[in-house]
Order: sequence, then structure tokens, then C-alpha cells
Amino acid sequence: MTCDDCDLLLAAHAVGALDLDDERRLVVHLQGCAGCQASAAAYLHTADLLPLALEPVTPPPALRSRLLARVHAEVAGEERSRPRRAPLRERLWRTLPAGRGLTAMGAVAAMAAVVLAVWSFAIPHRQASPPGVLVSRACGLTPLPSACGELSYTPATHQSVLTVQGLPPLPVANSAPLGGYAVWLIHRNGSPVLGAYLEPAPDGRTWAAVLEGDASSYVAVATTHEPRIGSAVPTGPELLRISRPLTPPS
Amino acid sequence: MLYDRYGRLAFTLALRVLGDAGAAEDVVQEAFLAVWRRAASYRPERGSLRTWVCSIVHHRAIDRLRGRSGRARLDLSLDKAPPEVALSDTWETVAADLEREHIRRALAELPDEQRRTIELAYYAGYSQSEISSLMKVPLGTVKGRTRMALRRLRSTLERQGVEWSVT
Repeated sequence: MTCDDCDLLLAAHAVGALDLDDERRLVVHLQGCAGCQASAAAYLHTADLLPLALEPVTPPPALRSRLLARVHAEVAGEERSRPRRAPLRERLWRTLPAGRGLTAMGAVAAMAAVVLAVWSFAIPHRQASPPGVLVSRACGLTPLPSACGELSYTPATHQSVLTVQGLPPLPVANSAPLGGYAVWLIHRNGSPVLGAYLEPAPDGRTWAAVLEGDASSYVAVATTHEPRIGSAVPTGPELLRISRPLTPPS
Repeated sequence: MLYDRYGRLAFTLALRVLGDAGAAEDVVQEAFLAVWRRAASYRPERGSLRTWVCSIVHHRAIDRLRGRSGRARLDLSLDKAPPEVALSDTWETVAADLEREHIRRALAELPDEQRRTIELAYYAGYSQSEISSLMKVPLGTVKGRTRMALRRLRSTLERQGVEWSVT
């Protein structure tokens, strides 16, 4: 390929019109030609002005929320997959001599630890969260005890993020997911208002949704599976409920 | 957040290429996720964030249009191209200063067949061979028109006061 041939392909590449075979030839030539690389940059920067000529169209607000939810879900997934140091209790347990058995005292202590763990997980509290972020956590209700979620609220931005793990994949109908996991904002009088739909992380195990607005306008969030997207009221059983994070004492 | 700054432009571009709001939303979401995942690979000397975002959106929209979402697009290696620090600064100025009408006027100054070629390629996502069939002209003519169109566009914009540091 001559540099003139390459120049023709560079212009086509800049506007996204290059056919696959030409694209491969172009890459090979460019690897050894600094002059054509300079031309490539010039064409690309000219073509990159073209979007500015379009009449702007505002995307639906839900797109931003969905994007944030995906980011939060991925972050949560990464955090979960990172190797973590075993909790202190577990490390202490490992230091006990082999052949250990639960003594009566140990059984009481273990029971107390379980109760404490359940209590600390189920009630709103602040724990290891960034400054200015309020967090509450809870695990699933009877229909789905495996689901556990965390609701983080940032008062400065009036934004809440709900991340949930332990939800099964959505049922599939005609090769497409059936409905979605809806997040309902539960108001003081008990009435639910649709807040968002949970979005899955790529690992398929973490789900997240971003909830806009002041968290003080609701007392809890609840999750249901809705076979039909857009339902104004919950139709499926409540799978998870988390109280909104408490305002820190001033 | 980067989306707040460029989300509208990205959606506008994706919608224009795909012609379907739902598909455009999908592409914009995936493009911004890609931007977020690949943030460490962003090189300011190669162009502004806006250029980077639009480029990813455009590539993904075209890939979707051509049904090749599963294929990684070949990235051109421009490692030997001259650094464009000055261009990057200029680019931000261009983005701020060039009104939509300036670019539209520059496009309008192109000969019809060149403008049509660029529109079919960039805004409608047709490949060169598809444009050749659509316009009933040889492939070589499409290539020539594309090159001439971009050169003229650049030349017109330079006459309007835009300066590029790339020679």
C-alpha cells in the first residue's frame, strides 16, 4: 500500500466508513509510517467536529440514573471480588487449638455474636462509609432470604444508591428477560412510589439503582419483581426492604 | 460527572446514527461505561475528552448498526504521530467557539456529492462499499469524495479562524 492509498483509507476511517478488509490493511501500513499517522490525526480531528453540527437532543433523565446504577453495580462487584482479610472473629477462631468444641460458654458467646451480627445488619447504621454518606443495610424477606442490600445516601447530592446481592437472574420469556426488579420508595403513610429499576452488574450477581431526590421524603425502599416494566404499583411479593439511612446527630 | 457534560452530545450523535431512541440510549450507556473503564488509557495529548467520548459513541453506534457488537474494533496506533498538545488546547477552543452554524455552513459549502458522501458515512453509518451502491458510483469515487470533503471542510474551518497545529 502506498501512502496515497493509505491517505484515502484514512479519510474513510475518520468518518467510520472503512470496510473491514481495508481497515486491516490500514493498520498494517500505519504501524510503520509516521507521516500517515500524522495525516490520520488530522482527518480524525476534522471528522470529530461533525457531531457539533447536529441539532442537540436531550436524552431521557432515566439514562443518567441507569448509567450511574451500572457504575455503582460494577464498583460493588469489584469490591466484592477483591480478596479480603478475614474478619477478626474468624481469625481468632482459627487460632484456637485443633479439636476445639463449643463449650457451654462458647455456645452462648456464639449465639450472642449471631444475634449481634443480625441486629447490626438489619438496622440503619453508619459503618465504614465515606464521610458524608449515610448507609443502611438489610437482608431479604421470607420469599427471598438470600437477598441482601445496602442503601447509601449522600445528602450533599441528594442521591441514594441501592446495591443488592443474592437476587436470582430475571426469568426469561422468548429469549428476553421478563420484567425487572423495581425499587419502590415507601412513604410515611405506607404508599409506594416507583423509584427506579435495578440494573445488573456484568457478573450478574450485583444489582444497583440510583434514586434521585431527598431521602427524607421516604422512610424505606422496597424491591419487588415486576413482570411488566412501567407498573405504577407493586404487583409482585416484596423481596427486600431497607429503612432509609438515619440523619447523623448534629 | 463526564456524562453531564457530554451526555447530550453523545445521545444526539447516537440517535442520529441509529435512528432509534432505545438503541441510542443503549449505545450511550455502554460508551460511557467504556469511558469509565478505560479512563486510565485516556491520553490528553491525542485530543479532548469530548473528542474521545464522541469517537467511542460513534464507533459503537456504527458497530451496532452493522451487527458487529461482539467484535473489538481495530484501534489505529498513532504512536508515531506528532503529539498534539497544542491541538488539544485549540480543540477546546474550537468546541467553545465554533457555533453549530459555522460547521453547518462549512458543510453546506461542500459540493453536493461530497456532502452527501460524508452524511451517509458519518451520520448514517454506511460503509464505503454501501455508499458506492447507494450513489451508484465506483468505490474509488467514494474514497476520493470522502477525502476531498474532509480536506475542504478543514480548509473552510481554517478560513473561519480555526487553526490546527497538525501539519
